[in-house]
Amino acid sequence: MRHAHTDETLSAPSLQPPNPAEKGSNMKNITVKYGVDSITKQVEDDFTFGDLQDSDAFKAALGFGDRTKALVDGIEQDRATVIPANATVRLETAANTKA
Amino acid sequence: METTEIILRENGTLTERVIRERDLSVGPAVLDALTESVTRPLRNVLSLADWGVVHANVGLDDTLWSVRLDRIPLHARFRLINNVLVPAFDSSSDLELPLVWHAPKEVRLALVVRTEPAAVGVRISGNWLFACDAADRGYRLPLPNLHDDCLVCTGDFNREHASGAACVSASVEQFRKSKWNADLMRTVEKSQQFFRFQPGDDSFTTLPIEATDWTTLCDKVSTSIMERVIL
Repeated sequence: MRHAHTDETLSAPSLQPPNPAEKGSNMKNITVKYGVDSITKQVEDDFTFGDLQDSDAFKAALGFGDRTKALVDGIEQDRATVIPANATVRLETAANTKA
Repeated sequence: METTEIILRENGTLTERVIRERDLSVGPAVLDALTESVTRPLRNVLSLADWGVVHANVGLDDTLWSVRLDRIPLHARFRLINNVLVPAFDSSSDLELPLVWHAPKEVRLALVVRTEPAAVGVRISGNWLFACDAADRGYRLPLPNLHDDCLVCTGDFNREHASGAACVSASVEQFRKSKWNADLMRTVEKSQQFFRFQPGDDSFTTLPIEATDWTTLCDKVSTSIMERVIL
């Protein structure tokens, strides 16, 4: 989706710079909580729960590791699901099994 | 009670509105359903000899007991490195000692016991060990026998007791006497920076953690259990 938007902008006959309002519409705010810490950040429109769980930027800011689960209103979310705009996502440490 | 109202609307229509009211009998099951996810913190519920006070977080289906620890019994194998005794959990040849690690005050430890109703009495459904900083962030200590979510691999012990208090006592006693082995072990280097002892003539003194910030040796955790811990 991101690439399609970029191609469309560059292929415009006038080669005008992208409309700031249009560019803004490809971003969304999400709030992520991990324990007592939380962060609100702007991410791309197609940002998924899996993208969040793998994001080095969010990991560095909140201190979570590789094994997490993402919840919205207490319901665990699939990694492939796109995070709704303005959603509050709660990340929890996922339990591992005994080695 | 029933009330009938006749309404004359602006367009000339007459409308009859019947309002019926009755008091609902809200039984315990309805209240339980409405408060399913509500938990109540209760401080200073129990006092455990040699350990201290125990707080409880009471839910509809379970109770979480938080035992504030000032020490961790570390019955494990130890190795002397540069005159400092450090754990060697995966060793089979080093000396086995029942040492006690005393936590510095900035490391706030909680042993958590979850109990649930059983057919007869109460059943222990999990034990967790959390370390917390001053801002109540939860951490997994650099210890083996701990899952990622800080669930303690306790080994077998009697999990059904007559009361919640007996479950807490049994869990603490199991925690006290269990040996630490290499199950769920990650890197021993962090353990050896965290748990350090100075051998003396007839005792072992806990040495400071070998890091400016102790949390850098731990993994930050966030779980629904951690949220209910009371320190």
